[in-house]
Amino acid sequence: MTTTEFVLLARNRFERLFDALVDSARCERTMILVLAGYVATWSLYAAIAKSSQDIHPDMAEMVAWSREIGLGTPKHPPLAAWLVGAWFSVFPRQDWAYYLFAMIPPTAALWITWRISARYLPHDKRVVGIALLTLVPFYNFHALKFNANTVLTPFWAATTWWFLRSFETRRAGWAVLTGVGAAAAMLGKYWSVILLAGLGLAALTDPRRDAYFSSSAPYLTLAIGTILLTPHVDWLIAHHFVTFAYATEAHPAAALTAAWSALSFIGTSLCYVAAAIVLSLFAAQPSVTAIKDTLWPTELDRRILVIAFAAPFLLAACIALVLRIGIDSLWAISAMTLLPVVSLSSPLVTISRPAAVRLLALAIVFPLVMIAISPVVAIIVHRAGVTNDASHYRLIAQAVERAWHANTDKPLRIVGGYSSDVNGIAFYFGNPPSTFDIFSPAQTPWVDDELIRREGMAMVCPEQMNLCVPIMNGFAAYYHAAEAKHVAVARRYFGTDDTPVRYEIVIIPP
Amino acid sequence: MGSAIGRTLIKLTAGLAVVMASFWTTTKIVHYWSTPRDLNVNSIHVTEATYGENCQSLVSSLGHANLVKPGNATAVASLTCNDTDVICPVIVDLIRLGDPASGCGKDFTVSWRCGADQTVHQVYLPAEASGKIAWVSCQAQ
Repeated sequence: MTTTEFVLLARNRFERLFDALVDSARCERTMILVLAGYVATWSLYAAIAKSSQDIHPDMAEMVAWSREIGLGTPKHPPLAAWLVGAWFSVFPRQDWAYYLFAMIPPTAALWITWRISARYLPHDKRVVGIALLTLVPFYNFHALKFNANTVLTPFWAATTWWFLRSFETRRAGWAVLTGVGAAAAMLGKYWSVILLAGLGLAALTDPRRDAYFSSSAPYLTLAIGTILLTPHVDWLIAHHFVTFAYATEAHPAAALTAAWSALSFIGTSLCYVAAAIVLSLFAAQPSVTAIKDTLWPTELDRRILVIAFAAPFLLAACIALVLRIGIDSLWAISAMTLLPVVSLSSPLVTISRPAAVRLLALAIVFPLVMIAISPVVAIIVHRAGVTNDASHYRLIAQAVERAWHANTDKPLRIVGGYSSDVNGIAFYFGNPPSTFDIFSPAQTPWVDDELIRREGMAMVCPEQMNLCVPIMNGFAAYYHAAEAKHVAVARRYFGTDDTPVRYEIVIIPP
Repeated sequence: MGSAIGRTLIKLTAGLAVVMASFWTTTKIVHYWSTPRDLNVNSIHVTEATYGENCQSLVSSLGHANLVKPGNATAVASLTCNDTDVICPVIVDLIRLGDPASGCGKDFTVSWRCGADQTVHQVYLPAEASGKIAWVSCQAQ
């Protein structure tokens, strides 16, 4: 087959896929299949590209929390940990399974955007919108590091979708769903308050607000949202607002730093979506009138979308300035649901069929190219090294298990150390122990003095880490630990070792 | 105009009433089904932690502002130790605490109570305390 024949064949396949996606009879089923392929492709990419390292400590922390928590965690509300717990009650505790799980939230969010856009976009623009969104790194590269930000993506999308339907129809079902979505978003991260405020602002600034606020819809939403959030709020009160304390203590900033972070939040968010915006501009080549109509539409149905999309960004900047906290651009990860709808819904924006097919082809080919280069990514990462000892967790877990069983026949119930290390290590034990943060015992409230005395504890520290060994030795002296063991660990990948790191392991026998 | 404001106020009041009624009812149900939290007599409650109290009255000759305030480390110490009954290391960490009095060697004090006991315990680290560890414990006092 010649190159020309191959290109023609590929083009025909993309044309046929595009036809299926714009065909009312086939589009829904085809999109489900395309999104299933999207999950599989990016999960495979992660499994290969990240095969020279262990899972990210934030992801491991979720697994550690999922085994211990009820209505709250020491840092965040509990939704992400609940979902991780549910996932690993079915799937094996393996890296590939976690990457597969991590791709489900962004893919669900893509499907919800597809559903929302059905109301505002013609078929061809719906396809282009989803294709463009898959080129935003929040929906793949960043999503693969599952955490309290990435879990929000589908819940923000669902809340937005259900709110728009509720505002428009004022039906009880949509109102109830909006309340469910709002509560779920808040149980994912309190940052979701900017989404809810943004949607409230969109409703209040819309001329149709009287009809909405005179109906039962907003009150149903408030009631359902409050009912679902109350158990967590009750937990929060009983635990002295510990997660609020973490949120404010973890991100303090002086006035100038806060102002800079607000600017940076908006600027960097724009950078993340730059590829999608530039490609859509190339494809549509809109006139100035079309751009004006996109940014401030004359139709109320579309204007509420612009406000609902933009308000969370502006509110985030205001929060940073007023509360003097540093905000991170990655917190915009869940705020892109309406981007394709807002940018393509103007009737003055038109995209030709060839341009639309090319964008679809790009969206399909890009992850396939990433799979092709994923082994190279893994090798580069192996050579460059990773932070937080993240290439050694599995090896340290093995060393700790050996040291433990050299001292006792009892099962290992608690492993202690610096938070990211200890969470990462715990993921790789056959029977995962509870984690204990020796730097901050309040962050692991499931371990108490009586439990340590009864079950014993294995502790581990990188020898070069400032203060880790002295703190570990403080616990070792208090609980009469056995003599410390020293191990050097290096990960072997494609025939080469990464930089060896020495760890000290201390066992407190039961 | 007046009636529009009146209608808005009625809607706001209705919204607030819905939230309060939902919260109150759900709280009652949650409390009926759940067991009360067991407060450990040995659990730590940090009452105050201060970094650089000895520098509070210092006027810097270099033009740096003196930002020492009693309790400037309470949030960090609380987040580290509150509600645990395990011995707890409070690290005097410049990155987390900042430098409230540049050019002055700063001490560190942390005070805490144990469970319901009102007795206040204290650990003092002399200047310069940065990089040192204050161990807080409610065990075997």
